[in-house]
Amino acid sequence: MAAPESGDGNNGAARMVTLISSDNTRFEVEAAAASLSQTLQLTILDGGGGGGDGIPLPNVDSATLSKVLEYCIKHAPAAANGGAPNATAVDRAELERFDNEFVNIDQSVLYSLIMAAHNLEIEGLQSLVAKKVADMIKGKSPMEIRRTLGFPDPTPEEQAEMNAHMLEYGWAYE
Amino acid sequence: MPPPPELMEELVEEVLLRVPPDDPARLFAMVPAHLRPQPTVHCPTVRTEKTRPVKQISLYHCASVPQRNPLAAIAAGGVQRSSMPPPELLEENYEEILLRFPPDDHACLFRAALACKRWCRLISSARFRRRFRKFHRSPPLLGAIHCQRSDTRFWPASSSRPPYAVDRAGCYAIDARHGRILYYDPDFVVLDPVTGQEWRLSLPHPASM
Repeated sequence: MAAPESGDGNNGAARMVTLISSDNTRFEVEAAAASLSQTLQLTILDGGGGGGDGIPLPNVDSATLSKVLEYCIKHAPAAANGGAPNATAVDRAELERFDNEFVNIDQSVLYSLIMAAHNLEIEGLQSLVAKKVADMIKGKSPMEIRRTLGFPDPTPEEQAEMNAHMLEYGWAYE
Repeated sequence: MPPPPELMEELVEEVLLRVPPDDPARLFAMVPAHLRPQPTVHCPTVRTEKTRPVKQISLYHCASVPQRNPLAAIAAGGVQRSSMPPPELLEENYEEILLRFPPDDHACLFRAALACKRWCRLISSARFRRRFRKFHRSPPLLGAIHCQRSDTRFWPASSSRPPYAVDRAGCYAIDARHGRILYYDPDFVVLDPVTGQEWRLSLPHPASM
């Protein structure tokens, strides 16, 4: 996806960097997109990732990384414009639509994404995925929350404690 | 006046979440010491021998999640796919999720705190409270008080009603702020509608002043 030059002072073709996933898949992506990651931004500013080198991400697998980059590429132009001043309503609606569809995925993928976003420090992505998971569990009872998140079943003592709380604080369960 | 009910720390947390950012110390001081959240004490998953000091900063990290390299966690998460149970997230990830709970429906966060001890501890932590306030900017709205002559009625703002926010006959609500209601009945009474705690102030009769 061609990111328009947006007065960053760069000239010529957009600079590309290479990211290498844990399973040795190479991803070539515009530096502007990869720079959405605060972690990568430092390396890229130092001139890393160009040429044949590539930035190894030994703990992000290719499936997760491709998803992360999908997000970065889509959001890079808006980020380059410093958020939204120049963005039209159509652009914003399009990004919103993209975001909604983007997180409409399997829970384990969401989890991989939130961990990757946290470690690569991609704030927008982390926020998006965290909001999605919060929406998934916010209306649920404590027991349903445990099941949704794959927590182990409570021990009998924990179960008794939860039941007691529910009896005592019924207002929270109405 | 009935003795104050015994509270779980989660409920205290609910109160403290509503503390306005400009006056946290004062309001916190109003919560009796035995009701203040004490995460390390109520944390059975952390097997802290009494001899080993638990620093405040480590409190946040000493969850029952096995400590592991965050980047290794990514790999673990990435390898497991749909048929597997979702990978266990780091404390920081859960915090990001819980931060995005709706501030106007306090029961949601309350229920989440009951889901597991780790979350309860996380939600009760000073760090989370601070971030939650900052993230949502304003404390959640519990409801509105409507005075009719000398009676007051409480209209909850969300589906759940605070347990002690009952309609009161013979009371006149003068003001409400910082999660407290000031009644006149004809003593001045400060009520916390979540915990039911009351502070009663008998004023001298005007004739004796």
